[in-house]
This record gives sequence, C-alpha cells and structure tokens, in this order.
Amino acid sequence: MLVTVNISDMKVSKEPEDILVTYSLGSCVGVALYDPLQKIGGLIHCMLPLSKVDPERAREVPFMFVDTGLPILLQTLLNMGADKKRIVARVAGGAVLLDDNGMFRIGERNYIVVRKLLWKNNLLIAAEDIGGTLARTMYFHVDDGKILIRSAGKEYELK
Amino acid sequence: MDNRENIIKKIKEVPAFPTNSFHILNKINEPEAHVLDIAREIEKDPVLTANILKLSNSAYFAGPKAISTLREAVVLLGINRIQQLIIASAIFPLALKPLRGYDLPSGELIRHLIGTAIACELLGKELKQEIPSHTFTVGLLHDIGKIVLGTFIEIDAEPIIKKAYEEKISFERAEREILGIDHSEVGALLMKEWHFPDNLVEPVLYHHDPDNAPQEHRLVTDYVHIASNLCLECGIGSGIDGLNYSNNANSVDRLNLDMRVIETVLSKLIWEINSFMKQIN
Repeated sequence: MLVTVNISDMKVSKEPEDILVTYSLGSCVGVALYDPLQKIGGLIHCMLPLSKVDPERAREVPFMFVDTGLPILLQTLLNMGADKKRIVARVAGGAVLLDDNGMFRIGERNYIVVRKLLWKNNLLIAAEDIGGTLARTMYFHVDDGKILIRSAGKEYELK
Repeated sequence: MDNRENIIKKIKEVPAFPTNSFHILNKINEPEAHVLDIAREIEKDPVLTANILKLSNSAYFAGPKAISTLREAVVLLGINRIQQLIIASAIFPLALKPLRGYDLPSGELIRHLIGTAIACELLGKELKQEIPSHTFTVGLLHDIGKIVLGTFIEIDAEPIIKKAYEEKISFERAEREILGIDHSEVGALLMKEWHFPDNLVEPVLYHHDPDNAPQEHRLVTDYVHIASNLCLECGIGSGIDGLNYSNNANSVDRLNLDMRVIETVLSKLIWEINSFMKQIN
C-alpha cells in the first residue's frame, strides 16, 4: 500500500508491501530509518531545523522540526522492535534556492541538524541525496529498505 | 516553434476573463458603489455565488463561523476579500489542469498561488506591516503565465531546466534564453489582454526581479517575490523548475526580514494552505 507522509508528518510500517512516500521535498528534509533484519521502517518529512522557533507548535506537530521529530521516529521504531545497532538512515531533500540571499539556508540547516542527531545516536547514513535546487519525492520500500527518488521528471535509486 | 512572437500570438487565444466577473470587479471599484448592490449583482450569477460562498467558508477567511448567504460573506469578510475571491474563482478553473511541461500535477499550481497569497498576509502580520489588499490578489495571479506556457502552449520545460542547471542560471532567465520570453512577462501580457490595472500587472511582471519594479509597486512586488519563494522552499508548486530561482537580497532588506519571521511564517503556512484546499476539493 502507498502510505503518504505529509509535510511535518511521520509514518512507520512493518508491512512488507508498504511503500512510504513523501512528495516534493524542497528545503524540507526526509529521513528514513530502517532495520533491515526486522524489516521495520519509518519516514519523517520535516520543514525546519529547530523547534525553538515555536515550541508550542512543536508539541502539537513535533514532525515539523528535525530536533523534535527525529528522536520520536527513532523511539517509535525501537518500540516496534527495531534494534538500534542495525538501524540505518537514508536522507533526502534539503534543497536551497539558487541564490539563497537571506532565506537563511533552511535546507542546509535542516540537513546539519539531521546529521548531528544521527551522529549523537550512533546511526549511520547509508545513503543521501541532499542540496541542490531540485525538489525531490521519496519512495521508501519497506520490504527491502530501498529508496527511489523522483526529481525533475527522473527516477533513480538512492544509493 | 515556441518563440516569443508565437507565444505572444497564443496569449490572445486564451479565454477571456469571465465578463460578468470583470463587470462586478469594475463596479466594486466605483467610489459610490454600495456593498449590498454589489452583493445583489453577484447573486445574479449562481456559479460565482456558489464559488464565493465555498471559498468564504475556509477557516482562513471565516474562522469557525459558517457563512451561508452572499450578504453575510460581504458583511463579514468585507469587500476587499470578495474582490479577491471573485478573481480566485475565475483563475482556479484555469489553474486546475496539470501543467505537464512543468511537471506539476493537477491542483498543484493552485496550491502555489493560494499559498503565495496567504504567505504575503502572514509575512505582513509577522512584520506588523499593513499591506495593500491587492497584494493577496497579485499572489493569486503571479504565476498565471505558467498556465499559458504549460497548458495552452504545452512548452517542453526539459531543455529549459537543463540549461538553467548547466549554466547555473535561474529558471526564468533560461526561459527567456530559450523561448525569448519568461512566464512573468507572459502572465503580465495576458493580464493586460484582460484589461487588469497596473497595480496587479506590474508586480506580476517583476515578481522575479523586484529591484526593477516601479517604485509605487515595489512593496507588493517584494512581498510576492518572498512569499512565492517561501512556498517553493516547502515544496509547494515546485515542479521541474524546483528551487531554481533567486531570492533577492534587497527585498529581504527592504522588508526587514529575519530568520524568526521566515521560520514563523513557514511554520504556519502549510496549515493555512491545507485548510483552504479542503474547501476547494
């Protein structure tokens, strides 16, 4: 089943036939975590790096922010039976405007916070497709953890 | 061949702006016009009335209150909003088609147009600045040139993005180099064809180049420029052109934007757009 992860949203699954999809990542970042042995996976689509800009909203919608969303994704997978030692991360998005000039490099900062948090949790980034000026759609296949990226009319596997 | 002359010729073949809506918009601009007369005028057009009522009831405009008659809409929302909704209801049917050339699925351009319009108002609120009411309307119209290029002419955007990408130039500059015209100018020409006033046409023409907008239209142009880029940042209406546009540093300075304002607006924007789209679907 195709399960849509909206902006500021998380979906997790251990159904092998599920494909988690998040559309049109601009400067937003999509983070997929996966335990290949248990075949448990989850995907978040975060818009902004840090929740301090609006702590109240972060309580309501934690997946809007990387710093509140990513820890919940990890904990949710662990609660479902994933083993932290096996979990691998795949990351896409974090695009920036051609000349960012005062947009405060949201895409770049999103990615930096993702890296920091993954590192703190000893999680490896197995593959990533980050930055540039193109928007990306991410398809996460729960049966084998593969991720397909669709961007500017082209499709490729995230390796 | 898609070139400047052919494209300009094609603009004349785009359907006219609905005559009745145009007539009502003119009436609204008459200084002696009375709101209830205008309400009566709109009510004569059942499709327009239904559209306005539907849009009025989105949470962004009306809040929790249900609006059931056109009079209520006029009284509660004010005539400026009604003016915006008349334009929205004329534009949305044109913007609904998928823009194949730009790789935009059906409805995505509407999300970008309404998102830009709403982002202008959210920016104004965060900056505590009174913005002209037609800023919202310009937001609704700013990418109308993409409809002409994407559906009536069905340009192939592939070579355009290729050029933009290889030469690291903005998408609209690559449009100009390949087609001889960009979507901003196409939009402005169509609006002239529709006899729209300068305060709407000029900001659409300069929405990627706010520094060159005439002084009296610069504020609105700055708002729409930033608002449209904010939408692209969160992937709203970013098709094959993606984020391949420049953000103007002078607009940022003129509006006095900082990181808090940008991030606060982004954190609110998606909700407002989604609540609005629910009303349309």
